[in-house]
Amino acid sequence: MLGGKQASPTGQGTIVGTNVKLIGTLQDANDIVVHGQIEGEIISNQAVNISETAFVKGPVSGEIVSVAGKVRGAITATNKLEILPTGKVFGSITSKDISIRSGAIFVGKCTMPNEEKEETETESATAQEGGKNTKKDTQYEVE
Amino acid sequence: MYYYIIEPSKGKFINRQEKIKDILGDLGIAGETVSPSSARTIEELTHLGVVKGYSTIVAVGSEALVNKTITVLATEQTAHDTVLGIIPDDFTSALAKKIGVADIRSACETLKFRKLETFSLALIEPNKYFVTEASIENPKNQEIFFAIEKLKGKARADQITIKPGLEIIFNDPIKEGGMSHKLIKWLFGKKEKDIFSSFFHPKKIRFESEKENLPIKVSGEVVAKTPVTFYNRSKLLKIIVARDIIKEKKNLTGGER
Repeated sequence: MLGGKQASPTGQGTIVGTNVKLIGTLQDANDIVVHGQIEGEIISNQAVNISETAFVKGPVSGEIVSVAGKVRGAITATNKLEILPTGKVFGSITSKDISIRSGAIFVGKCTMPNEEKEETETESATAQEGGKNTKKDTQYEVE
Repeated sequence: MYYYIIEPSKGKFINRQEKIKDILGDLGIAGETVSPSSARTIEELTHLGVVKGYSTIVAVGSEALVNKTITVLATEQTAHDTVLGIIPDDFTSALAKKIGVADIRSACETLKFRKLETFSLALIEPNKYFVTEASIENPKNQEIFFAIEKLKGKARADQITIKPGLEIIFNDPIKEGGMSHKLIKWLFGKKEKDIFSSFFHPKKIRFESEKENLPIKVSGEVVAKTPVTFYNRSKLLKIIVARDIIKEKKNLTGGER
């Protein structure tokens, strides 16, 4: 489950308490909730919740990622990413559904994959330019 | 056939053994009964039960007795089909709740109905199994280091609780607040989010302490000292549980679907 191996979905998630500091890859097929400090990668097939007391130094990926604490690293959410008013993110974020609440701090590049536009553009580009590569994502930079 | 390992009763529980034997007789599930002594330890008696070919070994008494019986059943090669029954001495304990028994009679009836559930156990290196919980006492609140495969961690906790399935709970009373803080919370019914407990479910976890070697207690007995490794042994032992427990679980599963 932890330390780089894929976990079997047992319904139990991982919770890192506020008095715990971890170094390495934290991986769980279920939800991960972080109240403490993690230096390394966080990977979940489901939700990742970075609470107000948490500090994460490393990339975070999950289906739904919610940030109320501090993250220094790239965040990828396959479904939804939410940075709450107390959240601080320093790094690139990627998700098709992004919410940055008032009061939150975000420094980095934001990428929103747009599948519909992607398909149309790819089709027309293939027809016109014989398959030349085109820019597919909508990108925003905030600093 | 049933093989009962009955812990000798003391003080006000002196008549407990006779009461249990009477109920077992009434229910028609009486069997061979043995009691540990200085001549025969719990481990030796359990081994004897396995060698004699009993299909059900019943531990009657404390959590320590149950865990010692479990250690033999989990390590004996020939005990794979042996089922464990439990009549706990404390019906308010987590163990009693785990198997769903509320008193001596219901515990005896549970044995008769023989509903089985396969339980995960935790193993403390080199060979101590437990089904209840273990704790690492750290009264000086020194830093504790732990490793889960490639993941390394450290924590400040005065007590670490390890449950079967390797659910690890770090308890830090300094950050949780003192008694007065807890009293205020209780008086005003203020519920705070628990951010101090950690839950990991690894296959293996190793603990090391900063300076002193810390004791690891199971059922109040010191069984090891840090550095120590715990292993998760999932679905290892069949234990007889109350019928209601299985019904409740089935209902829950049905409800979820």
